[in-house]
Amino acid sequence: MIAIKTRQSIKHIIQAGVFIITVLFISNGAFALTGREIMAKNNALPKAKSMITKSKLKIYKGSRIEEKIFSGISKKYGNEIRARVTFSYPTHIEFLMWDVPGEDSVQWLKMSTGKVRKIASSNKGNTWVNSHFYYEDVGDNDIDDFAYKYLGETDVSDSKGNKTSCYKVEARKVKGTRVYTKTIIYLGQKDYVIRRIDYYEKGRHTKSQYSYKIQKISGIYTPRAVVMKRTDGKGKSILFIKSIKYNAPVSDQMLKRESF
Amino acid sequence: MKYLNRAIIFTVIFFIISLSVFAEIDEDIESEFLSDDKGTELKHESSKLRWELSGFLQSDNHFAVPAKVSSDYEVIKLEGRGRLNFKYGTEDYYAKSVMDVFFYPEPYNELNPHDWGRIETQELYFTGGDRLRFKLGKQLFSWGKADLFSVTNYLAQPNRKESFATKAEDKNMGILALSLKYIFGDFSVEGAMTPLHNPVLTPVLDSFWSEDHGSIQSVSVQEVGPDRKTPGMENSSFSIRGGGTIGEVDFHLSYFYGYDNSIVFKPTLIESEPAEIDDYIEMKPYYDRVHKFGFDLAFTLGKLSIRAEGAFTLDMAGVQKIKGDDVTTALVALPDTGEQEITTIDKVPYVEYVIGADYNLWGERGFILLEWMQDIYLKNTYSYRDVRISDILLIRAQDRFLGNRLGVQINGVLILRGDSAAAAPGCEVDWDFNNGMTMTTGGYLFIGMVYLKVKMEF
Repeated sequence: MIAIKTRQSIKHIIQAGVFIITVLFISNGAFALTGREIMAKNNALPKAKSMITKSKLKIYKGSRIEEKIFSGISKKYGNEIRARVTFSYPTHIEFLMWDVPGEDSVQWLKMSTGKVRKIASSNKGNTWVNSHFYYEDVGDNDIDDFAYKYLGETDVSDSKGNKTSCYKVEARKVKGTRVYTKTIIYLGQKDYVIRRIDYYEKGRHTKSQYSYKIQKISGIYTPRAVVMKRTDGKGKSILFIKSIKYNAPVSDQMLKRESF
Repeated sequence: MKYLNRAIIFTVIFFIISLSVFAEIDEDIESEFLSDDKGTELKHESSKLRWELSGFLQSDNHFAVPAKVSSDYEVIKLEGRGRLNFKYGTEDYYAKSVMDVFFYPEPYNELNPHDWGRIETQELYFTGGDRLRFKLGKQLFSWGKADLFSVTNYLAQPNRKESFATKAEDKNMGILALSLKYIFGDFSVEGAMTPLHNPVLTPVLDSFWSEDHGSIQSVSVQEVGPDRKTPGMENSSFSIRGGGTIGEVDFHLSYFYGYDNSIVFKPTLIESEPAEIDDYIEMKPYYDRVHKFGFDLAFTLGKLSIRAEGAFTLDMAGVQKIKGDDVTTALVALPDTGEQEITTIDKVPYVEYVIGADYNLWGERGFILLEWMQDIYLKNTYSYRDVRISDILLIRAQDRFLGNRLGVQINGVLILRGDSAAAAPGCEVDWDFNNGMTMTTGGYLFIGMVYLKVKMEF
């Protein structure tokens, strides 16, 4: 009797153990997504083949505020993105850029005489138009250029304090020019849209990028404002998209150097 | 203890104030950018008629630095200028005009005489098309890749009225022309024709900027103005250019037939009185039609940008250098009043080229730029008068500081010719107010000139 009871007890113990292990296994996210899978879902979100935008860039440095207004058109040709940006305030300058992820971009500057000057592609770690964004931040990146690590879940607040549950993924660049030691990316759990990015330079967290007021325009998630803030409180830049049209008919001629 | 408490209280108050400022800025973001009434859909129609207006107001003032410290500065030029750029039409078809209005509060000075003012049309044209684009009217050509010494911008009308005082954007003038450009892939072919002769704009004679021809054999040399050619097909110029982008390299090949935009001076001995002391040599700009073949290319290697241009002229006018014996012979042959040719003009193959490079030393705006220009007659190389200032090297270092507000530029021009060399340093400092206004000051020590400029763009 005692032996039968012992066998039944052992059986119950084993069943309980399997149950506990299963619960632990599931709760530990064995079936949860990896960092790479989360980023792949973000990469699979609808993207535009072309766009026409009008934007304002506001740069806060100490007590100084600098404002730039520009319009741009861009179009994808396979892997390559061609963009033409015209600054209308405070000065009139026009850029033409051909960018292939992982390679140096080809850039031209149109001067007031109409002369087109080929310029050396800027160091990816240089500031973009004197803002807190780097060229690395405004360019396109290939998902395969990075190694990803899932870090867990957290909440990210928007400008009104509303919280969004996010996945937290660490990304380290493994191909191409490395500007950052690592970045930590916060993606919405429901939509896989990036809400926030923390940038680390030489191991230190130096700045964070926030995407505010994310709207779905022509089926594409678009943040109305992107804010880049320095963690030392020394300033920030706000890129505000005043208007945008996706997949508009952009003339190929507009993005050629010969018609620039 | 008292001071520690005060320090703590001060720190806390400072912290609270900092937070409130930061919070205030976040509220600014919400109200300025993110309220629900700010729409985002852009109505883009390439066929929509629209107009664009821009320009600037500028005060540009140049002063001659005296040799003696005790002397006052002499005014070379006090200039007020307004520019208006106007564009009207659709994305594909539009009319554009660029007009300048100049005003001189001190027009009648010995160093640089001007009228009270003038209006200049730099550009006035209509353009349109897609793959095949046309442009008809007064237009500015900017062929070539070099920064300063372009040799393939055949159709530009060089403005040398005020040489070193003229900024790059004013170095060429628009000309009346018809141009057609066909774009295919990343390449294009462009042809242009101008019905008029557009000679180089030269300085006012005997002004601060006029060329000093010195004297020869104790005979003074005087420059006179050019003869203008009459409009007509016989005075037209034609040019064609083709090229594009392959990988990292932009390149173009070109051909030109028409009046060359260099200046060659033809010397003639003049006697208006029987006495020899009134003899003088007249230097008159001489123009001739030439055939030119050229190329220009640019590429980048990391932070290094390289540009090159070259042009080969089949039949360049070569004016034999004047020797003392030539003048003596001419003086003997000179009638009591009249002219006597001193030298001959040959048609000689000629090459001119420019090589330039700039390197991003540090940051975003720290650059060093070099540009070397040379021209050579391929036969009897040293027998002919120089067409232009040649064997010249420009060195420039520039950077911006204080959040790109303060710009500093140091220039050096070296002329290296044979056994002789000359250096011409200069520098410029500008302050950008970040609202479209810039203030610039600088100088060229070798010609003893300083300048102050204030510009407001809109």
